[in-house]
Amino acid sequence: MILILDNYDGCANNIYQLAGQLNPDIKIIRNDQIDAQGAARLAPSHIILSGGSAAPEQAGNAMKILKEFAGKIPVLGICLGYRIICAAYGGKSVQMDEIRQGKRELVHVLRDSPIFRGLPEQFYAGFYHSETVPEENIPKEFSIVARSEQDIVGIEWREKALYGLQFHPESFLSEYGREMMGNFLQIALPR
Amino acid sequence: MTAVLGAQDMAILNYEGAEMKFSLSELETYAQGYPLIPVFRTVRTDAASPVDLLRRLKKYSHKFFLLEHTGSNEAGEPVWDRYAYIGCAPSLEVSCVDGRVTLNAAQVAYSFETEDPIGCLREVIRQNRAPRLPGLPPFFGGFAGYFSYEYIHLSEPTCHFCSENTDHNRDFDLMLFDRLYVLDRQEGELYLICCVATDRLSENVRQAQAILDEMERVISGPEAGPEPLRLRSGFSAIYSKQTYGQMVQQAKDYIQRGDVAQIVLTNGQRASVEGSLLDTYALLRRTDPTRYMCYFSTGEVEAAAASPEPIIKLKDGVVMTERLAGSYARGRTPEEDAAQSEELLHDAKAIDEHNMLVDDSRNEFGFVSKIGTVRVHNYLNVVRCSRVMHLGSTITGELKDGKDALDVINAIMPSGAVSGAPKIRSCEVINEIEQERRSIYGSAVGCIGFDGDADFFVFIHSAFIRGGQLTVRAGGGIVIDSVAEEEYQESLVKTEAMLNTIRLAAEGDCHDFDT
Repeated sequence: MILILDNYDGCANNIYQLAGQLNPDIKIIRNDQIDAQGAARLAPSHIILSGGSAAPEQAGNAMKILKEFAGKIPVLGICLGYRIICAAYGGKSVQMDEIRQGKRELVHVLRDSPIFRGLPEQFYAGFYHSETVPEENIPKEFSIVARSEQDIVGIEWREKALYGLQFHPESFLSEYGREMMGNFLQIALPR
Repeated sequence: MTAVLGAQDMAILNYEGAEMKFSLSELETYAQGYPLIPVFRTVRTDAASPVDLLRRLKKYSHKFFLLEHTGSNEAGEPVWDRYAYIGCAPSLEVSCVDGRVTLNAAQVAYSFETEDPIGCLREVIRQNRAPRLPGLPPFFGGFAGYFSYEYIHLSEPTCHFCSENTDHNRDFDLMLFDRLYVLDRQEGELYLICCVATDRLSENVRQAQAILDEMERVISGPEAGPEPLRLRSGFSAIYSKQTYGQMVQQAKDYIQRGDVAQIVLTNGQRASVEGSLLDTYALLRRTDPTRYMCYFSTGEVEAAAASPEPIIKLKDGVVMTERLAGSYARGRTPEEDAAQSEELLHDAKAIDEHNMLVDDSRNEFGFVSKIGTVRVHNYLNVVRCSRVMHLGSTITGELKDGKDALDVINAIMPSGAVSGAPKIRSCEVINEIEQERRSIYGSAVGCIGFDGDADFFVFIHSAFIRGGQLTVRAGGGIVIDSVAEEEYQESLVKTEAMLNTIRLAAEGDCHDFDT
């Protein structure tokens, strides 16, 4: 089962629609409606942390749930979800000088990552964010796998199957959203 | 009475010159599983417009609802849609103020506190279902009224408003019209429709004939004259330039902090008035025919709107909305018009804002739609209204089994056109900044039919009278680079056309507004 943790955002149902097409066994639950134990009882195969407008530390139980599952099952963070993953390992976000809402911009894939399997080296994606994690704040456990013109937009910690995307693969503005989601859902933790 | 309604084999029954469309046995078949069934006839009409008809009806009740639509022809000129709907003297009214629901029938009112006002409304809607018979217009009776902008505090209990609802604005107010007039412009006919209970069908259908007779008699009566509007004061702005400037700055602080991406702040103009908005509406539909034209009164509030923006259309299990962003003036010549639309299509700020609205609607529909059915159509289509053009995109979805119009309304209220993104936080921030309720501005106004279909628009480009105060409100989307001075000016400019229409109507020279 896929568990989507809704961080009170205008994109969680879009993730639900995208991932649900690939695996209809899917639940969407708000970040304060479930705790780490509750999530464990659901025994999800994959967790997706949605975007949202809170600070990473204030996004309900999202951080606790991430820590509970990191290294046990694959976790994908999108937008705020990505910054929650960074924050969980000490990577602070900062305000951007120029915020991006509703922009369709290029994503440059920097290296071979399971999440971008089969994708071209660059593609268009939808951006909605006012905070970003500067390169120097990306926790050292993570590899940077994608960049926009302005900032880091993709990270992975392959051994723990943790993936973070600052852009929105579920947006109608994004190319290859279905492929990226399909790639994520095929990821299994290395044994 | 010469009707022979017992004759089950009669395909068409002549009743004093009027035609009844179905035999009793046919009606019995259609009635299976429904508490109500429509009985209707069509008559020729000399009415030039639905406003004419309403002028004949209004003296019978102070509760009524008139909804009509325009589309556009190839030249981008507005064209009236085939049907105009007029309901008068509702048999029931369901309203809610902060969790206190009131059911108001003709003679009795019953009011109670409940934890679940939406559940109560759903039950009332469920008890009033009827099949759509062949030959009936899309809306043939049902509930009409509004879900307020602030309805989100019911549909989304995590949304907290800090300002008190001191003047008891209603969260929703829906009137049940089991008798409906529908003007069919294409055929030059008027539908008289009444819905009756299916329990004693034969007897009820016979009584329905008498009701239709009465409806026909009433609509053939004389018109009441113009209903003048008198301004008892000049218009004054709700928020001064200085206050509004501070409000815009507050909004930008919230955006910079990342609480919200964009929010819609509103300002407006108010005046003390006496009289009715009907002449204003008559003038409005002539000077600014827009996609949703509506005039209604619940007794508590009287309202007129010329709104370009649908919020939901639900038809046969498919939900549809169209999001609009960017406003450019129409050109004076076809060449200028084409140049304007070309410029609009290259306005990066308008496109970004529009993209946000499209993803927003996909997300809302994603909650109530079957997986994989949410689609975007006609992306960045230039929508031409009589005075302005917008960027539009259509979003559709197939409703999940077991979901209904109320589920869709709960998922999407209030419209992003009057709130912001993300929605819940936006509404809290707006309430904190504006420090007062918006009343019916920004509501979803429209109807839920007896068959469960729905048609609602965003109550903007509007005027309403409540408690002797006429309000014209207008909003503007605040983003990180918004300039306070410009936003204030924009809020004034957006109300100007409506204020002019009101002033003209109030001057009283309105004898030929209806044509």
